[in-house]
Amino acid sequence: MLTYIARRILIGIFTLLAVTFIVYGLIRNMPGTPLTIMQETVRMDAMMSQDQMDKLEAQYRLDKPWYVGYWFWLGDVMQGDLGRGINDRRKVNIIIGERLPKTLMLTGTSLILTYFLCIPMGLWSTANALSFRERLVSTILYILYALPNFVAAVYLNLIIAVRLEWLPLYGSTGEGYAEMSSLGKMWDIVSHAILPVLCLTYTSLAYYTRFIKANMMETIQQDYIRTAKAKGASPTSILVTHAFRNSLIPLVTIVGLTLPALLAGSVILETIYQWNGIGYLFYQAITMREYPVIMGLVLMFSVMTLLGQLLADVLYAFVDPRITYS
Amino acid sequence: MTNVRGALGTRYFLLLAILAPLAGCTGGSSEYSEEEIQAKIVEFDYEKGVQGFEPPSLEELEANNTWTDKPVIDLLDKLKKDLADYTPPMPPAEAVNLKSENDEQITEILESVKVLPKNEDEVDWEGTWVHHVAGDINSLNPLTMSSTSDFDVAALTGVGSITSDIDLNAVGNGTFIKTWQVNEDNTVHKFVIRDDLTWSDGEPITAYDWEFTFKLVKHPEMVAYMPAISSGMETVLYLKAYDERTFCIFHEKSTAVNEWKDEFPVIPKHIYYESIAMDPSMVDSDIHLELENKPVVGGPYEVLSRTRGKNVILQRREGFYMHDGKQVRDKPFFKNIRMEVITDTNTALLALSSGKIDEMEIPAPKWNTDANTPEFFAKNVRVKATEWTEYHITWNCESEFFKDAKVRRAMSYGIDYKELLDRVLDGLFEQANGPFHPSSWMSPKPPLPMFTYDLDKARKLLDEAGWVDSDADGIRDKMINGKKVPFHFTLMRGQTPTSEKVARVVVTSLNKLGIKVEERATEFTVLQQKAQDHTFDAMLGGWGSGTDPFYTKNIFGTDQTRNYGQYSNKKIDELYEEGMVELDREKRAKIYQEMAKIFYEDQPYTWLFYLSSLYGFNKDMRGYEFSARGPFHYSPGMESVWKVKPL
Repeated sequence: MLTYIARRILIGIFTLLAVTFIVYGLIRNMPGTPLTIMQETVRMDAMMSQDQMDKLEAQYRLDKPWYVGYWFWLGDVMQGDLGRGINDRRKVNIIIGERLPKTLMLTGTSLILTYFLCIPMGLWSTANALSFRERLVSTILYILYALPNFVAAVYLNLIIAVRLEWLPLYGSTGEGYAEMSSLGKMWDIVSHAILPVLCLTYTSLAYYTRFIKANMMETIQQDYIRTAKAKGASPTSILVTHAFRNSLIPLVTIVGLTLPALLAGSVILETIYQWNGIGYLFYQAITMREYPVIMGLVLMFSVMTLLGQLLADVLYAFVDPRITYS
Repeated sequence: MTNVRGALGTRYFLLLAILAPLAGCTGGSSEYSEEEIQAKIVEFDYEKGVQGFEPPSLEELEANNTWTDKPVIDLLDKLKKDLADYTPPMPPAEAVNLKSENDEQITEILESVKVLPKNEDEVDWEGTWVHHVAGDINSLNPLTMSSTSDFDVAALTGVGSITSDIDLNAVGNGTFIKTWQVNEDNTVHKFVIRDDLTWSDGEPITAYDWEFTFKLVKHPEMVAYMPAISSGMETVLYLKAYDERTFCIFHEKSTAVNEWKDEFPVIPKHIYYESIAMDPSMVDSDIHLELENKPVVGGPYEVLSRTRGKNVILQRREGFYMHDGKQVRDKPFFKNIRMEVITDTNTALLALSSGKIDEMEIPAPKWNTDANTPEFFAKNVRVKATEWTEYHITWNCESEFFKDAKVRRAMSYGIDYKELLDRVLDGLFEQANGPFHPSSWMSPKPPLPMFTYDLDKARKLLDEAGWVDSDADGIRDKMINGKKVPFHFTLMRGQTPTSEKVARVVVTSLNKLGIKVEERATEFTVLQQKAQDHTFDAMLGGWGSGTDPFYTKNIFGTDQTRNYGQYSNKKIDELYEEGMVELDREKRAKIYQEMAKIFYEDQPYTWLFYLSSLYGFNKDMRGYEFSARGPFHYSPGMESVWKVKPL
């Protein structure tokens, strides 16, 4: 197993190099540079002179071909320096680090809620397959899956935050947060997170519930389930012990792949709820051609994707005794 | 399940391992010895950007120059005096209940709410103004500001010598300046600052702060960190502080816009002198990280707190209006101003409707929808005023389609303005016919006629220019270099709903002339790059008003940096030069009026309309009045806004 992991990590490093090299090449070859926007924000009566532009280009290494720039970037990264934002001139690790906890709070909560709810709901759907109640729940889940979360967000805001005033409209904390008691702070954070978490969760909940149910329906057709029934195992035991464990493999694959999504955030929901997270940062960085920030985020997403895949492979061995990496 | 739990534990461990380096901080500057600091200052060399000019002594200046006084006005104080006997057309509390259904109502509202308090009891002195900003505040350091939100903060916290009044004239800022004089050839401007000014840390504001800041603005290493301030300052040679209150600015030559070059935000020398030499980026060291969140300021408000992506809270600064126990300036109307960042327009409108913010700019497509509901009117009033911001189609004059002015004129006759302005844009904007708004001093008198939708004229002009439908396929064509070229071009535009609507009308209108137009929504950065590279045929865009018509040189002057359409007219270039050196306002007006007539004939742009400032204000807000740049971006602007005390 350890040899397998070591080999995967080695392959992962090469994959990382390839991904960052390609992404760096792509973004450097997109039309426009960070200076394109900077030119438009200077005084009305002037733009930066060629001399000023040259100095800026040299300072941010934009004067070098992209493949040379990449090696400079990589060299800095090897020394633990992700570079500095060009418009937001702080260090990239500070820019990303400042937003990461907020995104994790939304996506992490949403992910946990999704898994906590989708497994019992999936099992319940399987146990009650073809009943009226199950069909009703399935229909509702389909509708939720089809309903874009930004549309739901607007209506939830209008009804719950504006008309009923039950929850805050936007932001991650309220005014006077610093002066609140610990309990007050906790409630403040929770109350601000409810609506965005709800919007972020319901589509994936609908999807995963359907996913589990579909897998379970396939599994319960298997011969060993019939054997278990013949042996007189209880329906709950058949469903949970015999069928569910064998349906876990595809779920584990998805768990692995959702790891990068934990950090990716959601551009639209973060914008609607003024939740200053990674999703909105990524969007801004691309539109502003903030190369160092884009690369910092790509590096983070790539590492998480590779780790997620590795994790999924390792988890296979736990959930499926037939798989070994020896 | 045990195994799965174990795996999850590993997952979180791995997650934390990845995040750990991201959560770190640079740690800032370490302890430096005095010798190291002095060595850094010598190495940085504050004189680096101003070498080659030796300022004369004050005695020499006084002996060799005759000075003319320029206006120095405390514009809030002046407004108070101007409105002292003003009677609004209707009580403001009634005016704010109007629904802005027509221009008369809007005028009535604006004329009523611009009042200042008749007595102190009317004002909610303990109140908070929640001011909406649509983008995050990038920097609280006025030298590194780059967005409108940054400028809003700087307007309330900053120190400067020149400001613009509601008519966008340059005025010595009487809040900080005592006198402003210019020599006979307008190359030396002498300022004496007031003696009752203090920074928010209690230190006096002196002329040395101006000199220090100027040297930073000119310093070659600082250009990268503050391009917005440094650009355009090439012709300002030196700023010399002669004593604590007197400084002179030396300009390379006499121009009509020298006064605007005198204007830049000032930062305290005693705070930054050592720190910038140690950390020119102004964002790395501990002290700069601290100052970025809580800068030492000299304006009416100081920064109470800042949460990135959320808000900046300002608080009234007693040291601004009180000096040695005496009130020396007007007390700012608000205890706090909260600059609330809400990026999403729908959320911001909901926040306005529910009273969570006190005002916001309303996007045009929302004027007759979200800003026209009982929920909106329950707590708010909406107002509009014309801005001197024009919206146009830039024709690439080097493109084979638009080289000929006849073709460009044909385009201008080919747009269905009525359809565009009355139907598609709901009558919110007024038609434009040039870069200068008809009400501005530089616009021709009487105004030039508007272009009308006249397909016959347009067809005739296209025929004359050689664009005819030779093969009867419904598309005009022309032989260029022996090749038949169909009149088929791409109109590039941004991704806003307004530009989409405008582009559709342009496409439909020009199709009727036998011209095939493809509209292409383009990301802003790509659009700008294509504009700067001149790789487009036609493009939708707009220019906001500068304070002086000279600023348009950069847009229409031959080979100028913002001349995206590559328009070139020798006469225009000559007139720009004349306009720059002519100091008499009336004579200057004639120069720009002549230019406007040439633009009208040449049509380097097809001017479509002037944008309107569309705003929603909470019914308790008073004291706002619109300039050609909206309600805030002039003086007193934000400083005259106040809130009615709750009953």
